[in-house]
This record gives sequence, C-alpha cells and structure tokens, in this order.
Amino acid sequence: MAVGAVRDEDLPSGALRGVTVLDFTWAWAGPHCTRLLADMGADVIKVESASRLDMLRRSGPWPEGEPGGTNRGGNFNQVNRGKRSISINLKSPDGLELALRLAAQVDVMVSNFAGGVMDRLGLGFEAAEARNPGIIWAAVSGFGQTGPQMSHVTFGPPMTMYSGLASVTGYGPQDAPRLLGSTYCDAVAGNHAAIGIVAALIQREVTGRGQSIDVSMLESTVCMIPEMVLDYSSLGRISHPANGGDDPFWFPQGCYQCAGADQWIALSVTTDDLWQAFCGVMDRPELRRLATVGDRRSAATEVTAAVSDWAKPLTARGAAESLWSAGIPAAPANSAKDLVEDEHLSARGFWAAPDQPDVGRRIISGPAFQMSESRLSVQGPAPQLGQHTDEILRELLGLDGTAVAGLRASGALD
Amino acid sequence: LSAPLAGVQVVEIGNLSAVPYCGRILAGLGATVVKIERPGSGDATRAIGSGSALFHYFNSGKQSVALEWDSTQGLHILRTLLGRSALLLHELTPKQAHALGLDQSSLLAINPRLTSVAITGFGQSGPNAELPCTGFTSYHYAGLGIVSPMFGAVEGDGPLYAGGRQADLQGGSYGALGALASLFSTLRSSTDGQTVDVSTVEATILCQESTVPMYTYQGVSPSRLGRVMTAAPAGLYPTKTGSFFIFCLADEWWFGLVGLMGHPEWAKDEIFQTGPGRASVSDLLDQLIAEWTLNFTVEELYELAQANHLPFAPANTAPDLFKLQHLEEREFWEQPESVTGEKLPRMPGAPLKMGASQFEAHRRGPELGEHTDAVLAELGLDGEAIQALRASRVI
Repeated sequence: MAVGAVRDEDLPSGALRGVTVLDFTWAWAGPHCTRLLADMGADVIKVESASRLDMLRRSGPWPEGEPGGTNRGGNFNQVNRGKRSISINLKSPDGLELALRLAAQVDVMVSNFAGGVMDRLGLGFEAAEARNPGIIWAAVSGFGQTGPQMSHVTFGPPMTMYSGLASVTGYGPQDAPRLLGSTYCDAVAGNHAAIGIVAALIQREVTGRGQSIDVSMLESTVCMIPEMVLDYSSLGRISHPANGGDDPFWFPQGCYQCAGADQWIALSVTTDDLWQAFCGVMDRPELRRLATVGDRRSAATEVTAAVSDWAKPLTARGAAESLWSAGIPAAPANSAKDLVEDEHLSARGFWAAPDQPDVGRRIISGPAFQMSESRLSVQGPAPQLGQHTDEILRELLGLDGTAVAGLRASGALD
Repeated sequence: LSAPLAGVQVVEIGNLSAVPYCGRILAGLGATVVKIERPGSGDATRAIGSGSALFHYFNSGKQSVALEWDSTQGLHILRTLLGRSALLLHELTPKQAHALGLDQSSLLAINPRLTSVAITGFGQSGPNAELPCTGFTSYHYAGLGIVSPMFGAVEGDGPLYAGGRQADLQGGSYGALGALASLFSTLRSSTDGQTVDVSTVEATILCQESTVPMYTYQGVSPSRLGRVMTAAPAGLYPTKTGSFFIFCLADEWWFGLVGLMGHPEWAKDEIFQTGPGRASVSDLLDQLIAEWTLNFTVEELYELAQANHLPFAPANTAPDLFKLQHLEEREFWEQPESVTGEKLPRMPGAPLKMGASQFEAHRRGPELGEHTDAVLAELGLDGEAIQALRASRVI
C-alpha cells in the first residue's frame, strides 16, 4: 500500500466498493468521470505512459507558483485523487496485450479520446468484450463514437462555443458569445458518463452482460441548455444572453455591486411577497406599489437603481444576511478564498486534503454529493506516474517480480 | 433487452429544473417516474412561453399525479405511494422534510428500502441548510460567476451568469448518479435505503477544474478581471460569415495555425514559441489572425482546422446545431408527440448512449394529473374514494 493512501477497511463502504475501473482517460472530461467513481469507492486504475503524459501533470497551478515535476499540479491532483497509476506503453504490442489482459479482469473501461481512437489502438469495445463479456466500456469524446464528426477534435472552451452555450452566456443581448471561467463541458460529459456506467452496472447485475457507453460532449452540453434549443424550435427565436440573470419567471434577479473590491450580492426575488419584504429590507416603501413581476419589469430602471443603491454601501456577506433573514434567496458571489474559508462548506465536510507527496496537505473539492450509508470519500492522494504498476500486475494478473521485470525490459511498461 | 431501471418506481416532488432533470434521466433509463404536482397550476415550466415545450423536455416519459401532497390526506396518499417505491426525489430542506414526516427516519419506517434523493442549494446539513436560494444564487455562491467570463472582462463587468440553469442541472445530474449508486448497492448487498444529499452549490464547485486549487496551491483567487493570459491567441475572430473561435492552449496548435496561415516561419520566432510570449504580443497577433480569417467562411475555417487536427470552433447558435448532419445521423434530436398527436418542437434527446438499451427521450411530458386516477387505483382506492378526494380538492 502506498504511503498516504487510505484504502479498504479504513474507509466506510462506498456504493462502488469492489468495482474495478481501467481508466485510459486524461485531461479533464474522462478523469472527472473516474474521480466520481473513485469517490464512490471504485478502484480506479489510471493507465498512463511517460512518453504520452497526461497534460495536467505538466500544468499548474503549482505549489507557491513554483512549476516543476509531474506530481505537483493542483488541477491534476484534484481530479485524480484516490486513483492508482499503472504505466503502460500502449504503442508496443506487449503493452497492448497487457492492457487487454487487464481489461479481462476489470468491470469498467473508460477513455476520452476522439471517436475511433480506442478502436485504432486495439482497445475498442469489440476487442475488450472478446476478452471480457461483462465489460462496461465507456467513452467520453467531443462528438461521440459514430457519425460524420466522430473524429473531430475539441476540448472544453471550443465546445462551449460549438454547443451554443457561449451564445446564451454574456452581458446582455448585444454581447459576443462568452466562455465560462471553467472548461465546463468536460464536467458535463464526465457526469453523464458516470451516470451511464452505474446504470450499466445495474443492468449487468440482471443480464450478466456488459455494454458500451457513448457520451458526446456536444450532446450532453446541449442537454444542459434546452431553453436555447426550444426558443428556436418552438418560437423561431435565436436566444441571446440574458442581461445579468434575467429570468422568465422572476424579477429582479441579478448581481449588484457591494462595498469593497469585486464584491457582489446575487439575489432572486422569486415571489411578489418577497418583493414586499425586500422593499422593507431596502427601506423603500414607495416601491411596494410594484406589486407584480410585470409591474417591476416595466419599471426595471427604477428597480435596478433602487437595488444598486441599497447594495452599494454593504458588504456582500452583510447584504446576503439581510436578505436571508427576510426569506429572500441570495448569495455573495464567492471567490476561491471565500469558498475555502466558508463555514457552511466546512461544516458539511465538503473539503478534502489528502497527504499528497511533494505537495503536502492542500484543500481540494470533496465528493460531488453525500450518501448516508454508502458513504463517499476521497480515497487518497493522486498517484505518481506508474506508482502502482507492480502491485496492480501482481493483484490483477498474478505476475511476480520476474515477470514484471521482463515486461519492463520488453518495453511494454513505460 | 430491457432498460437498466425497468420496474423501478420513482416519486418526484420538485419544480422547475433541478429535481425534474434528475427525474428525466431516471425516466430515460427506464424507471417509472411519478411526478407529484399541485392541482391547478402544476410545475412552473408548464406556464413558460414556448408552449410548455420546456415542461415536456424536463418531464419526458413521466406520469403526473395532481395532489395537494402536503395536506393531511395528501401526505397519507404520498406515504402509501412511497411504501411501494424505490426512490423519492425532492427539494425539501431538512426542516421542511421533518415537518412533513419525510425525513430519513420517517421514510425508513414507511419503507426500509426507500432511497430519498434531496437536491437543494445548500444540502441537508450545515449552518446554511435552511437558507433561501435559487439556481442563480447557488451558481454565484459556488464561485462560478466571479471567475466568468474566461476572457475579456473589463472593470465594472459583474460576475457572469451562464445561459440556462446550470447549477440546477449539475445538481440534477448528481442526484441521478447518487440514485443509481444507491440502487446498485441495494442490488449488491441488500443494504437498506438511504439519503442522497446533493447541494447545487457543491455540484457547481465541482464543474470548475481550477478555482479551488488556484487558491490552495498558488494562493490566488482567480477572477475574470485582470486575468493574465498564459496562452494566446485566444478569442473570437471575424470571418466572411460570422465569428470563429481560436484558442492555442497548446503550442503545437499555434504551430499548426501559422502553417495554415502560410507563415510557418512564425513558429520559429522566439517570442512566438511560448504561450506567455504570444500573450505579450496578443494585439498584434489578433490583428494578423483576423486579416487571415476574414478570407474564409466559418465552415471553411472549421473544415480546415479539423483536417489539421486543430480544436478550433465556430460560435454556434441553435439554428447552426439543427443544420448538423452529425446530430441527425446520431438521432440526437427528439420531437415527441403531444397528447393530441401533434409534433412538439424539436428538443435535445439522450445525454448519453448505451449499447444495450435505448435512453428513452422521445416521449412527451404528462398532462397535469393525467395519471392521478390510475395511480390512486393502483394504491387500492376505489372510484368513490377518488371522487371524494377530488371533491375536497386534495387531487
């Protein structure tokens, strides 16, 4: 067992305890999927290669901003926590055969190359199923495993543009398409791949058979913006970004600047009664006459000016507390520092800080959700490249030191 | 083959998009999802402008029972229904659930195998658990606003909200994942039911790959303002027909781009070798690239980029997506038939494809209360009892 790794009996039982995942993913979409599985207790074996490193191993953020090494990047360590790493050269025939022998021993295979790449590597669904009829073979890709664009290359930001999400994100109808400050579509595809995998595990309990799962970043992202699609297909209207947070049901909803550097209060007045309460909070009784959403929308300039004037001298936290006491949905627009120092998230035990070699204990996001019995938890730090090669070959294939040395000499390991 | 969740009965109490998206996924995977709605009004998306098409999207394939479910009689019916179900999806805070007798211990007394999936802004524990919130406020609490947009924000630009209801749908998808995980563990080890506790705030923190590590590793709270670009070129460039997105996060994409532009020698220029070097002269680069992109249509540039394995992209809108042969061939779009047999507007279909079963996304949403009588009859109520409930407006 690796130093710092916490496994098995030390941890409460996750829903996927006993499920083994052979993980060919890199960058973010696929690793996000297998991170979710690992937090639920699956044994995730990350198949890596020194000659084709996961790009996140070479990118920051770095501890104290000092770049270097392949085990120190914060994004990599957050999304690969609790996984094991085996280093295999998939380009060598022996390495490929080794990967297929491992595939015969696991429950799930996941990859996130462009469509068709796993087939060309010799690790497609048919090849895996021939070794393991129960295999659940999941692929996350930009455009899916079929169709004329299956081999197209993309990643989060261009997919935010391609999917149309950027076209409905911006500062009002006249603005150009905008990206989110995250490579968002990766997480969307990763979530849906995890959903497909657990659904397939359920189905396998009944049928004994595995199956392939095909998640396209494009399709899963478009599923997250049905409003944009339906505006066009039902009303013939091309959606534009809403102003701030304009909502079809509620007004006002938006972010208003508070005192201090880049401090903002986000609020949603979701009922007419809450508007009356808000007028009390703002001490602006004359605005009570704007009793309905329609009244407030038609007096939008006046409403926005009133809310802006109210928010301006307040701290974002103070403004949120006033609104919460009046029952009005609100939140400070938090920064990373605010999040890490947030009492609520700490009280929920949301954060994790596994002991990461070369880095120490640093806070990263915890599991996506909690389960009262099949508890989720971060299973350990992110692995170093090839850290578990020997133990995995021993555990899964019964290979002894001599056999592993032979594989190493033949160039199958990398 | 039957669907993964064939025979799994789910009760859904949730409005708008978070819980309904969770239920949509479970229905797509074959579960029987009974949506409990308020008599008279129902889910808020029924009233939305686009002929309630959004309701059909979020509630595809579900059944609808119109029930004053938090009245005494309503709760009795709800509990009976939960006694025969595997999952309850709801959006109640801990206090609300407790007051209604829908907290974990009360639910386990009704049905020891029942899993409840709670999707709220702040989750089922912690000092904020009871605070009022919406998808909008959760999104900003989670910090996605303060870091957005990725490029181009100037002083005075507020935290940017994404199109759609992303915090809700992130929460909804994790609710579905938790529901499936619980069903799987029940199948494998006959565990009892449990609570799946989803916070849309936490879900929205998870969809940011670097916000938290930027602070805990590097000591920097990332912001949309004053972001120092470490990669260039990055942005939208004008073409003959629209704008085209180029982002050279990897150096080799830049080398590929200058090759296409007919200036492979730029790849050798020292200042152009690295992302930060290119970022330091991004104004000049943007001008040179724009002069080049203006010679093409968006389609031409996209084809050229893909032929050279460069991940650049057009900034699409809905009509652009409808033109894609790719999505046609993958049968992505769905056009369910309304209750009167007319085609509803085209809408997104399956978010994932499974080889051994069909993700069901072709069905319409139910009419309000369409299944009230049938579901109550299954619970053993006779016509007279149902009539009495209707007279007292419980259903």
